[in-house]
Amino acid sequence: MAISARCSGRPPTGPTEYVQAGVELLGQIDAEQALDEVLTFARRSLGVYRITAPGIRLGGVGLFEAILAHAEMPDVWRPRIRARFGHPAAMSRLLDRLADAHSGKPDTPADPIDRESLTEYVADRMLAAGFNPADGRHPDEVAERYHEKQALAAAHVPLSTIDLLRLYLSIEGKASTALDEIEALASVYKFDLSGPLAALRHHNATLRALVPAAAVSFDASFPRASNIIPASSSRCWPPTARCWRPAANMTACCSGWAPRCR
Amino acid sequence: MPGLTLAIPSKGRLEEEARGAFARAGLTIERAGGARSYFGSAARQPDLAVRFMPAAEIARELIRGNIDLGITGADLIEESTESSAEQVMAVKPLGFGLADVVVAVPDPWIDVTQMTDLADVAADFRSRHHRWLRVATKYLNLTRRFFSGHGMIEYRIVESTGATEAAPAAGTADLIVDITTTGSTLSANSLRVLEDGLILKSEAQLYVARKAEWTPMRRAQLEALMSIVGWVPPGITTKL
Repeated sequence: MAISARCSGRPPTGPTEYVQAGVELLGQIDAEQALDEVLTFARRSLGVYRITAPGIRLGGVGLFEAILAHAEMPDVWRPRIRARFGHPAAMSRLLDRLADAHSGKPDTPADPIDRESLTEYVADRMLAAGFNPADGRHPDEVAERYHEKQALAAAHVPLSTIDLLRLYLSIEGKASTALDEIEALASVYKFDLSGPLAALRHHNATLRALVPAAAVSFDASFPRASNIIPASSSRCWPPTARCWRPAANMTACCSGWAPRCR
Repeated sequence: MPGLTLAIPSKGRLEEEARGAFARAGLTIERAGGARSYFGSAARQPDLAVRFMPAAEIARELIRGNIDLGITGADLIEESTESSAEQVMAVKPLGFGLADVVVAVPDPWIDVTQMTDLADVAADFRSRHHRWLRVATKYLNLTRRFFSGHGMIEYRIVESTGATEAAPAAGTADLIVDITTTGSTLSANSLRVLEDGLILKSEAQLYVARKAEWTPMRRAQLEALMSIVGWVPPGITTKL
């Protein structure tokens, strides 16, 4: 369970620095209990600085993953789109590229070179150039990804899916309104998002109860901080969250909210 | 501080070219004690103090406003601050010190041609190899900003201040971010620039420090100096 807080604004000179803090709770197995503990701690911490009406932004990586799982597209693209969640510029470039693939350019023909020959070819080039194929990327890994790339070029994501993703990622505003919008979107596309949506609504209600004066907003494209590592969602609760990769022996997860200091 | 302070790179081609540029513009820069001296002067400009400093230090001092004007590379300015336009004013691109800051990967990585490929490789590198993808560079901030803009977050920077292009073959890094002019050093080390891997096109420029103390008298001195070299039309101080 983790949260972070950041004061906006930057010093007038020198490199940009932010005043920020994070809370991470490890070892609490009951996810709801963990959420309560972390939020209560965060609320008390804000109290120390006399911040009673913070702006709180909720994100929804779980919701985005649910949309990705439902949306029609070749499977090879799902993890690639997922990896760009939280990076608006990179996501937008990828979606543009996927849309461009429909603009009539012929598909790249499958490469006739088989995997083994390609691996050998890469290994030869690595050795000739003085790179140690045993350290870092292996020739086999390069060849595998090269083939995978060609499969990707041939696998188009439908334009309707690209539109849906763009529409979803643009949803932002007061949490309850934004969640209603997402529910309406889900019913149009006949996606079952009831699980992640219920979790987010619960999350929102908890926050409102704990910090009544807070302005809670939801941003479907919640940009995670660059030093936070996304983890697979299966370990995470609530599924609204930005996540840390937990160590193998820990049950750790996260919720993303960022009170802005006033 | 009564007069202006101008900083010139203290050694090598950059020093020669910088002094040459001023000399062609009619301002002869003297370095009385030779290459060991860090103080100089300009002919017929008693109020202009000339200091010879390493180019990276010139960038830092311009940003802090400790010197008034100086010649340094755009790469060093952009590396030292995220908001260069607020801290320095680029007055005159000088046409030397040309260099591109680029992302280069081992040429045998035939599956990696663009930043999106690199971000993909970085994303699962750690689970495959039990260590982070390593990037050798001296441009820590430029690299972080550029990579982050491409959704690439899972890597580690290995700071390298010399012979960066040798790092991948030496096994100390997997790829590099470095400057290149003709690309020949990169290809000699079997490295290839990504198609969208140009971070910055750099050249030496004359910069004016916005944070220096610009009293009316010092503004007049700057205008006078600029009119002697003739690099910019009058009125530059109104933009400070």
